[in-house]
Amino acid sequence: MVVAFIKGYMIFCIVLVLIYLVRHFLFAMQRLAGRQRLYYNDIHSSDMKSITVVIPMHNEEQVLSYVLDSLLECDYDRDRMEIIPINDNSSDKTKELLDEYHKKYEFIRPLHRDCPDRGKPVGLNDAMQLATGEIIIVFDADYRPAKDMLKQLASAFEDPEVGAVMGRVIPYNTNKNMLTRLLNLERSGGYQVDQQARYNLKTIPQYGGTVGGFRKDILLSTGGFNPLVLAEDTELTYRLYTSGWKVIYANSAECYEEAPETWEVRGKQIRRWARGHNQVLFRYLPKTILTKHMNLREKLDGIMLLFVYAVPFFLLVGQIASLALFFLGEFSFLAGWWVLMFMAIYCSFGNFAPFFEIGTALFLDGIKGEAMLLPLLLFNFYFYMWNISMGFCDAIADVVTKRKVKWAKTARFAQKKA
Amino acid sequence: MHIIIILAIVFVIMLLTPFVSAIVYCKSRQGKILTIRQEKIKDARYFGKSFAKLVEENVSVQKDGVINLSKEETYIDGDKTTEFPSIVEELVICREKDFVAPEGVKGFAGEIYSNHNVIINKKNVSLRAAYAKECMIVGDAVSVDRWVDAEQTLAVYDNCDLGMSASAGQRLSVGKGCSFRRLYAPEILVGQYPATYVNPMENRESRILEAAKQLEVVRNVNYVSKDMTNSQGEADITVLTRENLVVLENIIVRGDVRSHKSVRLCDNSVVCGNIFAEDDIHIGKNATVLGNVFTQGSIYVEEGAMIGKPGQITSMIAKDTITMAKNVCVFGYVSCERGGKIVSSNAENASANVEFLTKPQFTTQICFDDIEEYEKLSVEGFRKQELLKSVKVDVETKEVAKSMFFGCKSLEEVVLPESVEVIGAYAFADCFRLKDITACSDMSVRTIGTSAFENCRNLQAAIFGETLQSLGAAAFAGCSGLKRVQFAGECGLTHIGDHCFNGCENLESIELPDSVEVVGVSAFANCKKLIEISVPAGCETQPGIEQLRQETEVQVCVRSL
Repeated sequence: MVVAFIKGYMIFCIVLVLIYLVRHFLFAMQRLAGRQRLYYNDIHSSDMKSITVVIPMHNEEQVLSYVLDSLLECDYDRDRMEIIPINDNSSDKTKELLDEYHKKYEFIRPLHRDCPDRGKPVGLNDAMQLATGEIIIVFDADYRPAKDMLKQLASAFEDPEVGAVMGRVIPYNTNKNMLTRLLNLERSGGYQVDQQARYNLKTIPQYGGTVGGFRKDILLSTGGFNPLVLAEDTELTYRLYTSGWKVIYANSAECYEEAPETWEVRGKQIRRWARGHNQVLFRYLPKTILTKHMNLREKLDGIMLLFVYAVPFFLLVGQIASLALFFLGEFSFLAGWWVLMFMAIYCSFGNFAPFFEIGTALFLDGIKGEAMLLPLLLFNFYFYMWNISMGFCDAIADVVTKRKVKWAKTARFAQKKA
Repeated sequence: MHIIIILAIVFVIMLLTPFVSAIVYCKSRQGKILTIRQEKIKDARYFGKSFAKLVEENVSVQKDGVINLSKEETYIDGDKTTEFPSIVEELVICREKDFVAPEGVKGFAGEIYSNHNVIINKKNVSLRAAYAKECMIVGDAVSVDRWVDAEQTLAVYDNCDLGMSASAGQRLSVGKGCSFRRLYAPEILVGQYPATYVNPMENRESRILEAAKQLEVVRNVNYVSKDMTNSQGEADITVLTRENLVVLENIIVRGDVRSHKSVRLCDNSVVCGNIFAEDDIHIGKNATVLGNVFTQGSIYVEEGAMIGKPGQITSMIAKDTITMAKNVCVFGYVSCERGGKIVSSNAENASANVEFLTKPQFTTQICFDDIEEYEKLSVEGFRKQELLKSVKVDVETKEVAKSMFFGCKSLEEVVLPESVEVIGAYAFADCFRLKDITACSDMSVRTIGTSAFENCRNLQAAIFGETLQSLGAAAFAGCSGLKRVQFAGECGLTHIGDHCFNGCENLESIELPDSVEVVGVSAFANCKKLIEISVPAGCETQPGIEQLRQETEVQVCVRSL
């Protein structure tokens, strides 16, 4: 009975991996040979939406001047723009530095939060109460937006159906070490192929919580961000789709970010993402299936996207199950199906879309040589499999215990601006 | 046994090779950080402007007919040269005279720059690129390889190929049979000639320009028909639909239109917002779209249609093609990836007598004497109307709306009624020439919004009446000409926002009323001539005053109440 169950589970894993294989392959082929949809960055309008740029910060004295100085250079009508850096319970000099900026520039209006409930969602909720703009644009404190970034992102909201827009992030510390080199590959694949293909195919490009924006009134009318959800960005994506709005991806709205430079920091980050994403899975799976506002294609992709941080957990269990079958001498159940088995293993290494999507992305980005690094993503695969599985278990524990999530910040590595 | 060992070794080698080579690659070569052009900005006239800037910066230091633009190249001085070869390989620069394409020249392989006008009115001439500091004429059947740009007006006659981009700073006319990729001008007259200019608003009702009301969202419909409109034929709706959508004749849709298939506007219909579609968009005869038009397919615009509205910039963008008939007017930008075409006509064209396109006539004076007309003004108001000189509001209104006259750089005179209580944020910001708002003392102004008069450098005095309660942040910041700020004796002002008078370099002294409770940070920062400030007791600890005491030598006189 147990052996039969494990065998059944193995087949489930193989089917699961094959489904995601097809998805990744389709996305890669779409980017290489499919019709590309135009983004709205060519729209010139003298009537741009009013925007509030919000930057959540917690102990960001090292990096905050980069993002603020870049924003000061941005091209956007003065009367339609304000900047609200959120100083969220910082214990370093973030407060003093922000106050200095406000002393120089009236439209940089810091929000100082000094209260027990720290976190990005609550910080954003407070900032939205103060914001005068129709559109909230969010950057992390380590980002360096280009001059035309704000116009590129705000253009999307000329479309009355767009609830949120997401830009592309590019690590600037690629050459720091092997991890950052590999993260550069992942970012390339994730944005240049995965997100853009979903935009092209009119499925679900994902709002990523930074280098992006959303309509303030939608959030305010639906109660703001939920402080119990760690992945407020993914939650917003599904909240928008299940209520008739769309998210679009702006591949040309590129912004530099700092990629984590140590495995420890990256591990914590990915575990937090997995926990948050799976919280959204538990909340939005039924809504995604039942909503009238999404068509079949959006629902299928939406469901697959919801499961992306659950699949590594299933695969981890699958690998343990395969070991069990091996030692029980029951592994011959796939005799004759071995081709499928090999394919599944091959693809399970590809769960983070390295082979198709990253290869395609490197080709499109003109850095084909970096494809030599692809085999090293095997290490990432197991590293992520473990951390994501931990995140998945965290999310289950959240549901069971109804505990309050604690917000954590990714450590910064940049040197302070002179 | 040996074979097994050999196979095992081969297996291990094959297994490890990708990893070893990846590690070697990683260690031996630096990764490439993808380049983001941090300085890039959106400018539809980028080609012309950047070329003109390069020429103007370098022409004065040229040597022996060689100019250093992006690289060193020889050029022809168009002011002195009269003989040109049939194919002109060099760059041509005219600083004193107009450039007129000489007889016998078949092509210009280099760019043309003129400090005045450029006239290319010979048939079948090919042209790489041309820039005119004033106006330009591009005659029949001229083929442009890259771009043409004129600072003022550009008149293009029939059957031209306009290359990558044709743009003008004020007005552009494009004759029939022309093909293009991108067009830009504040006013683009399509299928028209300079002599046949017709004001596109002449046959349209001015009510379509009024501000939008509360809009209802209507989903998944196929038609916007009469039964969705009020008695004036207006539908106060925004349409979001997965279906093909048709807006029937003579209907005014106040909101936006978004279809996941195609959109057809029937003749004389109006959409006050934007149109977005996945498939083709057909805009019927004399139809109007006041906002942007965007599609992943193609756009077809029939005779007499208008896209955008006077004084504003909007865009018409298609992934595929754009086809326009005659007498179409677009205010702003037109772009299509697969090339656009103006419908050709067999009728005789007007190019026998080529002439410059006239410059647009801008409104310089506005007077409101109808309250309804004033209150229905579009939210945009007169924002960035750079030639507006005077405004008189002669109606009983309580408010000057947010950003209403923002960036009216020539605005000198504003007369507001006594009834005004609120001056909205940025209402007069960047009106560099605005001299006088003494009317504030006669009005019942309670609140002056954020940056309401920021950078009004010519403003000499600000005198406030008793009703004033709040001055917003940066309300008078950057008013470098401001010498006198005076409050009425019984003035009830309690709040002076952050940066309120920051950068008022000529302000020497100021006396804050007794009622003031809050003085924001940097309220008087960078007031270089400020010697003395008189504040009521209790106010001296406010951030704006505290800052003066600590960082400057300004004398802070504290009055006891």
